[in-house]
Amino acid sequence: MNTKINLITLALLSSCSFGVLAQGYGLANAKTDSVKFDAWKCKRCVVETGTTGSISAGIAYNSEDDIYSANAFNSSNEVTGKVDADIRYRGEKGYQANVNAHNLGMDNGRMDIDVGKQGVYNINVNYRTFAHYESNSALSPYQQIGSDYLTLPDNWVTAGSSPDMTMLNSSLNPLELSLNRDRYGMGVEYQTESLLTTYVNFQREDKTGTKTTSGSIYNQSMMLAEPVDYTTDILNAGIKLKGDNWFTSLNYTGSVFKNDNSQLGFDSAFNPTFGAQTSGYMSLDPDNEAHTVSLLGQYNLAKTNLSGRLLIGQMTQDQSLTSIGYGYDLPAESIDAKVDITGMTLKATTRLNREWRVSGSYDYNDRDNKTQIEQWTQISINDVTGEAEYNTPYDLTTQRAKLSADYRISQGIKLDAGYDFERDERSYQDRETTDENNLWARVRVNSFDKWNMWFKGSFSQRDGSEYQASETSSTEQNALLRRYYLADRDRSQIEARFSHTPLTDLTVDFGARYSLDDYTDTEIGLTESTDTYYDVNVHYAVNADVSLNAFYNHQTIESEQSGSSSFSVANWQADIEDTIDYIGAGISYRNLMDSRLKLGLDYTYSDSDSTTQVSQGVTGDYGDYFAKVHNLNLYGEYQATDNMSVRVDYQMENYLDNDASNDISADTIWNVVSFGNVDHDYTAHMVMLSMTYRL
Amino acid sequence: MTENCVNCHNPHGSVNDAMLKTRAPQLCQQCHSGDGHTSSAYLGNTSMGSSVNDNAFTGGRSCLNCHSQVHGSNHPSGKLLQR
Ligand code: HEC
Ligand code: HEC
Ligand code: HEC
Repeated sequence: MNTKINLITLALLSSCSFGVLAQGYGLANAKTDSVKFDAWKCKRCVVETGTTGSISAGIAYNSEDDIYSANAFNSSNEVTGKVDADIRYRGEKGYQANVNAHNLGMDNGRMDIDVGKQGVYNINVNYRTFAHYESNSALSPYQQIGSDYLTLPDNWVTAGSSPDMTMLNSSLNPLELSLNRDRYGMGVEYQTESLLTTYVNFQREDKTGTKTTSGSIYNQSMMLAEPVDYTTDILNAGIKLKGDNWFTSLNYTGSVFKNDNSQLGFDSAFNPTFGAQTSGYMSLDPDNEAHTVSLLGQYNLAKTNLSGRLLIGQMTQDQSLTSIGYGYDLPAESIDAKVDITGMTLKATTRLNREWRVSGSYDYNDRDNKTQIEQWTQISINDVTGEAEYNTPYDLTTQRAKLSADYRISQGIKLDAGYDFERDERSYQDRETTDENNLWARVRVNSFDKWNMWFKGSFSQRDGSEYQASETSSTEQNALLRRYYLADRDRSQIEARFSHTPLTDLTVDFGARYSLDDYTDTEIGLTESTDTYYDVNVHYAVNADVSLNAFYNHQTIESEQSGSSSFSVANWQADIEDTIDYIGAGISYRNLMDSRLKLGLDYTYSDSDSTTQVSQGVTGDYGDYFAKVHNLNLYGEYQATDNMSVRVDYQMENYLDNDASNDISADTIWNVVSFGNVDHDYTAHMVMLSMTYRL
Repeated sequence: MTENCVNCHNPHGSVNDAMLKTRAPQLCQQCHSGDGHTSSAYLGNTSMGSSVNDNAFTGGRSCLNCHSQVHGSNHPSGKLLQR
């Protein structure tokens, strides 16, 4: 269960960064863009020379035993220190240096050092860390945690079911599930008078720790700690050229992923079954590479902007297959995967007159999987011993066309509306082609005193070529199954937002959104889902020194699905309702005690809850599945002298979650050796004392 | 399958771990309905005595207890996402 999504978002984004970077939109790219243009703008500014800024150091004490609290407090240590810095040096003739650090020494620490000459060159060195903690109380009988072979104790006695494993309870030890990332980077950027910029950035990320996986042999399974020891190198380099009304750039991005462990082996805790296996080996994320080259261009005419992008790339993977314990001939050492990527985007916007603006775009993305198809014999993890299977190199081609128009009805009323079309073509899937047509419109009204608002509505319909369930599945699927990402779907969405300023010091924002996905031709699978969201935010400046803010937001996601246990028409139904409530308030008070003291208090509460009901004659439910979190942050900052201030932060987190399907001990489920209950229930406190010195 | 992360994950966040749109087994059963354990009705806690945490299909990691390699596998026998 989760309400603190930030860290996972980061983890997900960074895992996705393969895809993101492949398109040339890497963070580093974006950053050099802004650095460059700032520099150009300021080329002729008169700057004073010297060093300015501030530096601060802090020490914190964290009371809590449950390591999960480190996600909120950014440190799993009982005592931790940190450094913040914002130092700027400006020398003669445009030479300059900046040092920027935040929470350095803590889990979310970062630092950037830039040295260069304004408008000519800049050298950047940076460092960043992230961490995510799952649990330090998962229980396991396995030894050598963190290595690529997990062993059971010497005196282990296997059994047909976990309750019969006589050594299980006495062999359990707590282990930590957490991931840490350290990122180091450096970059150089050089500009010449001819408005040409070249840049090279390199970044290495080391990700280490352990995460949950399961080793299974036929129908028996053991939860295992999977070692994580990844290194990802990313290089991007390019040239940018800029004229009065045009801009072009040529960019290269390469990323290389290496996993220090290619497989995870484990002793089986159970008596041998099919294939008489006493141990198993599972493959871990294989080494792979991706390289892309992209060309961007933009041309601005008086009333028209044109832009485009071309991209080609290749992703490869030739790590040897995991063959320990595999007794059959391999048709190849490695899968030797090759996927070619081609992309093109064209975009045009034109202002026809004072009232009308029109834009259109076309997007083409192709993923051509060139991997050889081979025959692979499947080993006896199941009762279909020795069955042969083939790999399926999926291709995907996506095309998108968009047309939209903005129309200014009057001074304060604007209308924009558009039509989007998307066609996806795939190989080795139940449906070759899907087409989606989307119409949308939005009205913006700013004509009332103290009110701004907009309303948006959209409707889209997806259909496509004939749906052939199990056409490509290796096992026959129910003919009525429509996998939701390929299924016919009607999607309707409405949204509205208001901003109201009844007094100059008071702002109230609120908005709501509703969306309905109706899978019109689905009898088995996801049939309908709805998403309702609303929020309210209030900000009130009581006077020059005191300000108050408060917010509340709510989301409900409901989905309905049907299944068939008789391999024919639907005979069971599942309903899931997820709700998230998030409420908070804060106050800040400045200029107390002769303008020396600043106080602040923030409180938030989040409650996420999910209910699942499945019915087939009788109705069952999946029990309590929730997370409830209170967070309090209180701070006071005192300006002791002109240059020095001290600050105290107090943070509290009260965390309670539950997942009924995981209210288990190691041997609750007969064919699973589990980590036991890894729910959290704690109140954690952190106090931090810090001192800031202004240079 | 894993080429499109948002088929299974919601990048805007969700109530589930790993930002899954829906958790197993329902997530998996939105795309799998074979003649066997993929299409059974897993009722959870009922008045008939079954309970959500007493079996490998809904308890623990649900379908992932046995098919833990949801993102794919580099094993020659990885087809069933168990290796
Ligand atoms: C078929 C559904 C599916 C697709 C598609 C999918 N995932 Fe997942 N993902 C899962 C499930 C299920 C879990 C939870 C695993 C667990 O409980 O350990 C998960 C967990 C994760 C996690 C957290 C745990 C870990 O293994 O590190 C990350 C990160 C992640 N997925 C990234 C991705 C990315 C990136 C993509 C797209 C390339 C992707 N996923 C596509 C089903 C999917
Ligand atoms: C968005 C749709 C989708 C979701 C969700 C999904 N799968 Fe799949 N899965 C596929 C597709 C497509 C294939 C490959 C084609 C096939 O064999 O049916 C596949 C293949 C598999 C296979 C190999 C089947 C075989 O016969 O070779 C297994 C096992 C599997 N998935 C398990 C899972 C589990 C467990 C989950 C839930 C964590 C899950 N899937 C969620 C679409 C999905
Ligand atoms: C206790 C271990 C175990 C659990 C839990 C489990 N499976 Fe399986 N699964 C297997 C084994 C073993 C096979 C191969 C033999 C067979 O088909 O029964 C298999 C085969 C499959 C296949 C390929 C054959 C087919 O019927 O399409 C899919 C897909 C699949 N499982 C999905 C799932 C899904 C979805 C869940 C959760 C509802 C799940 N499994 C839970 C062990 C398990």
